[in-house]
Amino acid sequence: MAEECFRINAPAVIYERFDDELVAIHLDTGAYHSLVGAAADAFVLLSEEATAGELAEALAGRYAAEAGQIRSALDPFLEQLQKEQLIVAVETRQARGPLKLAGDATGLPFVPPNVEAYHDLESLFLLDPVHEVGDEGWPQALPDQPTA
Amino acid sequence: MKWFSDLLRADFEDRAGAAGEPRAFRIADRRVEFRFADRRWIAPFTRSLEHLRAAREDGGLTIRVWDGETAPRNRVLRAYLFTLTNWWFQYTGPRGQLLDIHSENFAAFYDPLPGLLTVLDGDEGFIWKRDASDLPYFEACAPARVVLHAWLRKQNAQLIHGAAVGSAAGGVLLAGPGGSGKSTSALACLDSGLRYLSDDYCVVDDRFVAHSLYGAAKLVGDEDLGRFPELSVWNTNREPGEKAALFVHEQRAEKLIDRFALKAILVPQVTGARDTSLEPCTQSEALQALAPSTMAQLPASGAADLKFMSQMVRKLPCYRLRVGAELAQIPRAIETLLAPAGARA
Repeated sequence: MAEECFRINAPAVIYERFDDELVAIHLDTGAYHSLVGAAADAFVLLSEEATAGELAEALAGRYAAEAGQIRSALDPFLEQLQKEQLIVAVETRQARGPLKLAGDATGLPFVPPNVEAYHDLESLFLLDPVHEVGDEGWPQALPDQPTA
Repeated sequence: MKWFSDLLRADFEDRAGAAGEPRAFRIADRRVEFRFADRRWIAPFTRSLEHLRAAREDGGLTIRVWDGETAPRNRVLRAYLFTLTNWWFQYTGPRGQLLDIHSENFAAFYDPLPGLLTVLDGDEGFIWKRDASDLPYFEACAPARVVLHAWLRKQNAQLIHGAAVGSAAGGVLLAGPGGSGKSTSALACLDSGLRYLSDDYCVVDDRFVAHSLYGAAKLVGDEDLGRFPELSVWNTNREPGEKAALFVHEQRAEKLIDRFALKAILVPQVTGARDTSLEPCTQSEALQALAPSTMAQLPASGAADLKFMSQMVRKLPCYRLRVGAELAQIPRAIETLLAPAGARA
């Protein structure tokens, strides 16, 4: 069975990278996030679609850890990202070359990736944060209702 | 969605004639004209902008403002507005964007709390209020910000949630969510050598010059207001549990400044200590203080806004302003930062 592949949940999720740190904002939930070091690198790689194994291989070229050790640390990280809806599973993969991180740094100390999530502004971001939203997401206009 | 703006314009003209009651302003060197179908909306929408009043000219943004007290003659518009205002949660996305109507080039939002429909189509803005009830104080303090933000973004200028103080030689932007100490820091500068550009919102252009927008200031509550006993008499919002609203441009017009070049971004942190101090902070910390709170209040915001604010924090030095209880120290710390390098010692 093929390994699950993920991509950043664009266009709802936008981000900016600053040296070792990355700030991401989810426009549909109002949460914002801080990712540092290997977490920031992994997140940037996810913009190109990647499995945990592919991420581990790419990160092993930069950080002083074996791909297997990195791979184990990525599972809880990817779960966090999914829980925050920052990434989504990819059903049909796009063709692309091997993953490669920008820059030529190597041997950096590896700290298991983590995402800091901030939810304090959700009530300002969202029109009606109290409104009940079902499993299907925010209610959509019904096709048989007049929209204009 | 030209058909939608055509219907809105026709409904406005049914109520007001072609021009309505015009009021013109210069905002960040750009002409913005409001046209009102009913005089009752002039003061709520323009009081906070009076310090930017200008002569009428051609060009720029025109914003038509009216309400739904009289039902539209057009049946399609009447049916749409009726269903939107009663079942808005079926016709809007999470940020209030009108489903099937809002797009990158046609901003359309509905906010059910004040009952405001806001549309921007090119250089034409429309603000339609569901009924004739009063505009909430937070809208009157920062009127038309949704349409102004969407339009200014197309002009390569950014509406920012932040306070700004300084002088003609340059100033600082204070960034952070409500309650972080922006207003307290900005109002603490009123009795200093610094001048006041904004308390809550300002506009920053692509040269990182900050421009005055609203003259209103908001303080979180009695505790904040209590720090400024001389300002409490200005408070125009007496609703219990709500923020105090102060129209600084009416009370201290001599302290206002309409623009200055930004020299730094400060992230206030209320410490509980006596003294105020400054220390460098990371670009990422400054962006986290600046971008989420700005974007949260501007539903048309997106990747372009984040990009603009990221450029700001990359270009400008960023500091943490550790705000102490002795308010007079706040302007002194900022003045020291803004002083020429040779004059700091």
